[in-house]
Amino acid sequence: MTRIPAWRRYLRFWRQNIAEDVDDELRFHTEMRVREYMARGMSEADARHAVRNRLGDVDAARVECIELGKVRETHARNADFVDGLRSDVRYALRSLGRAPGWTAVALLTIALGVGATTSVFSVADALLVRPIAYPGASRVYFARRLFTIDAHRIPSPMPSAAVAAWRANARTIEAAVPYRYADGRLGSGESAVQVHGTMVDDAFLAFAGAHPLIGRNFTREELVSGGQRVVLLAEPFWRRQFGASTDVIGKVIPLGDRPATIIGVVPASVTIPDFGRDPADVWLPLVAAPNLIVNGVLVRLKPGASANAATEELDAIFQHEHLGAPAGMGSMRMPGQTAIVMQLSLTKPGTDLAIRQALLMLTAAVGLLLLVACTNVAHLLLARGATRQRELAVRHALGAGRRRLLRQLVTESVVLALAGGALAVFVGWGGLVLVAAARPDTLTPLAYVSSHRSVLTIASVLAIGCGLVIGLLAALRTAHRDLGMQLRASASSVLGTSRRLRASLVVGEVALSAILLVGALLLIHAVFDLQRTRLGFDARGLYELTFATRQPLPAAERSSLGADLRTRALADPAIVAVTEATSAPTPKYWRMLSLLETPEHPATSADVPSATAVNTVAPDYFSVLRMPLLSGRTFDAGSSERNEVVVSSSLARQLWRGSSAVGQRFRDGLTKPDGSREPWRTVIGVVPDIVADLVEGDAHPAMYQPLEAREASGPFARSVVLVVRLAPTATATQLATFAKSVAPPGVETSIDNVRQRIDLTLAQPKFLMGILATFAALGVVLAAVGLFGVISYTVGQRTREIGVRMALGASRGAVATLVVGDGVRLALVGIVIGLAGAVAATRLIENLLYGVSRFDPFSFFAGAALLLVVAVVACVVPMLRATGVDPAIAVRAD
Amino acid sequence: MPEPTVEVLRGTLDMLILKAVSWGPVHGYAVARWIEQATNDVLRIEEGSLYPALHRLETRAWIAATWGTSENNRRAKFYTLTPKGRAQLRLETATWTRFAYAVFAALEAPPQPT
Repeated sequence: MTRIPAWRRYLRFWRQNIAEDVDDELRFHTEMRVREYMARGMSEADARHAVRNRLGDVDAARVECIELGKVRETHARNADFVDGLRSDVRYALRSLGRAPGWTAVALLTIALGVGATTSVFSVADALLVRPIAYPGASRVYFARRLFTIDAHRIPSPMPSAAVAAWRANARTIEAAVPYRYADGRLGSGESAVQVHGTMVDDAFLAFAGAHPLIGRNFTREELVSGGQRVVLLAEPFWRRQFGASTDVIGKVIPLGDRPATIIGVVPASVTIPDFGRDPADVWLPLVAAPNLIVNGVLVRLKPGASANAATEELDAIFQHEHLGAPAGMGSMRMPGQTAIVMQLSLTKPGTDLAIRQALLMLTAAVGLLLLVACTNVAHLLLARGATRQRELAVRHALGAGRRRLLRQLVTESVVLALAGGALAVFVGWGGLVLVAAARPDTLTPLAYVSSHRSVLTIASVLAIGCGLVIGLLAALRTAHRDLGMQLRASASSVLGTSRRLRASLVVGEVALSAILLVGALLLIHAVFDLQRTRLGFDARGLYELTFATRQPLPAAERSSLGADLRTRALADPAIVAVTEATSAPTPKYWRMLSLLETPEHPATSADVPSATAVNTVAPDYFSVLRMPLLSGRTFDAGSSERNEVVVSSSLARQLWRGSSAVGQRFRDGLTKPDGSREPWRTVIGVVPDIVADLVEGDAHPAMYQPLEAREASGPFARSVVLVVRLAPTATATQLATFAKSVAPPGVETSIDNVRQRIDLTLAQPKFLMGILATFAALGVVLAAVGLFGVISYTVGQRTREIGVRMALGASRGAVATLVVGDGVRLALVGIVIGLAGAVAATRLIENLLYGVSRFDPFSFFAGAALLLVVAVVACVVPMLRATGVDPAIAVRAD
Repeated sequence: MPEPTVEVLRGTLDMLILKAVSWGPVHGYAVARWIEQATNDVLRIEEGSLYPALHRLETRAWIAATWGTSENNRRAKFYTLTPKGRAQLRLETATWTRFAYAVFAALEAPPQPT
């Protein structure tokens, strides 16, 4: 009979030995049975034999028991961990609740930092990192034809025949789908809604990896002209306009000039990843037609195919099918430097994003802000850690291991960070909503983001990350010293050591805020400068009044309508002056005249500008716009027959350099299809340049021709445009009333404030400026809080020293100087480092500054001054506390 | 010559174990003895399978185990019924009783009328 040694009983003190336990248990059973059988009179050998028989397959049983034991052990360990975590969290919550002011500041800091970062990261994520959700997104490219003149790359429409050729012959691509934009109106009259439409063929949904939510895709038959007109609704439009009703299928809606039958709803995730436009509201069939052109083609390369190889192959097929540009424009090099090249290019969605730069800048800026916020929280934790040394030392003495204490401290900061992160989700989401609402039209991509679901993920990852890093740092700092020592030492003598760390954190915060602040001030400066740009005409009270007819008007009818409207406008007391033109006063969307030539320099010469914008105006146009004639005269009755024009000073300068433009001649250098050439135009006057876009700034070369010379056809033939100047007291409403009252039946009117439209071009810089200014303000506030904290803390530490000084006769002024001097010294170091950082960092926003130097001394100086003032203000309360010290009490303390 | 015995089904064994430990802390040998005596040794169980069954019930938290000292001063593992196990025992007893009544009733039933 084997005896189990008594000491094995205590084995469980150290750890469980599952196998030994099972063996013990089975052995005990065997021994008991053997003893029982022997008591009945069996010999020991017989008894053992009988017991073995009775037990059966004991080895299998043993193995099964050990397995089960292991399972139980794992369960127990997990339960232990969860229990520990739960008590840690409970403890953390309790200790955070004990310092509500501290907790609130820390929470708010995390929420603002993480929230702001979350908004910007979500935008960057949606636009830069994952611009499309298509299958095989990394192989999806835009195939575009770019018309390159000098350094300008102008996207040119693509014949849809190219798509058919590529689908049939290209071996480097898997699929190609054309798209064409077609905006229109839903309904008519007052209740009409503007809808953004995109025409695609039946292959598009499969390309995008999507199926209609309800209903069906286009059929082949619907892509042939003459069939019934059908339409697919985009999900957001369906929800907005039709309340997500499922009975819209089969409904007929008045879309544009013809009714269309709704056949399905397409999920919101399906978009053309061209961020220059708003997402489509409706998807229309791309009905085949001869010479149909499309805005672009999306292609998906075969796996393994390179973009270069695909570009070459697609271009070769394109050339082979003679789909290229008009004769003589294919891909030729003009004599001189001007290269005009038409080429096929594959671009990845999102890479040609105009706001890429701005987004990168914002991402960097918000990263700085997050750093400031983290620094501040680390700071707060350190301050707290200092006062908790004794608590931790006591817990250590009571048996809590260092790992256990570390875990406790990290749990606390993670709990804090998670709570802050939860708030940050709201801040981030609110930020996105705000940003989407305030976004200027040029930042349409932001419209894609407001529904983005990754906000939650990004916020939680950031929060947990920040919590872990900050907590671990602060905890190591707090717990790394010999905890036993702490119990014996008095609080204040221990804490001095972390002062240097805290001071360097504040310096870092001030430096980061300085970078943000300088950046924001530079942008503000740039926007103010742009706003003061001279427009070249007087925009005050100037409105553009458009009367649009359904059908193109014959020239005579259009002239008489214009003359009639002008007479009636003059009779209206609200209107001071009126004139007529074919286009708005600003040359951004005027007709272009390209390849100019003069008798001295043919069009192929490198010495002439390539193009000018053209407007057609009444003789009194210049006086109504208050554009002074720089030389020459304006139009008279015979101007049209004599082909007389007025040019802007930049066109005059480009064509004739220094010499006087009046009396000179030039024309469009292109030969018309019938072989004829345009007659020469004679310059009779020169007027100032007009700035249409405050951001682009440079004046477009412009040419004005008399009203009688306007085209009899084309898109402009459907409208009469009046440019009116309102009396200073008159309002746009009065003008609208007038327009309604004089408009002939069936003519639609629209009113545009010229100044407002020009100011709109500033929307993007203003928007970026606003965001950066907000970040900078947050950064400065956080830095001020940090500075306040560290100075208050120092004052608290030095109460005794201050008391002694005052007892020895130091004046209150001297004490105040001492305290504020401390803060200012820290701030100054931070500011100097920050300004140095700004010199490097502002490179990111250089091309958003529009002429303002990135070393603009005003911004640097103002930023430094502002931070210094804030630093002084942050020191005021601690200073008051210091000067209020009663020497008698201070010296006795501790 | 041993009496004919019945192979004990696994579910039945679990129920019997629960019943055995319901009177207080007992070790595995006591469980085996109790089943032997309470059933007059009709249900002769293979004792090797008793222990995996005990451990299975412990893993399910129907019974709890502690190490203690046996009546003859040996280290032994004692099992007690947990509240969860008690509920399970009540449930299984009810089910088994109903099942047994049903089988018994069927066996006692008069011959089927033709």
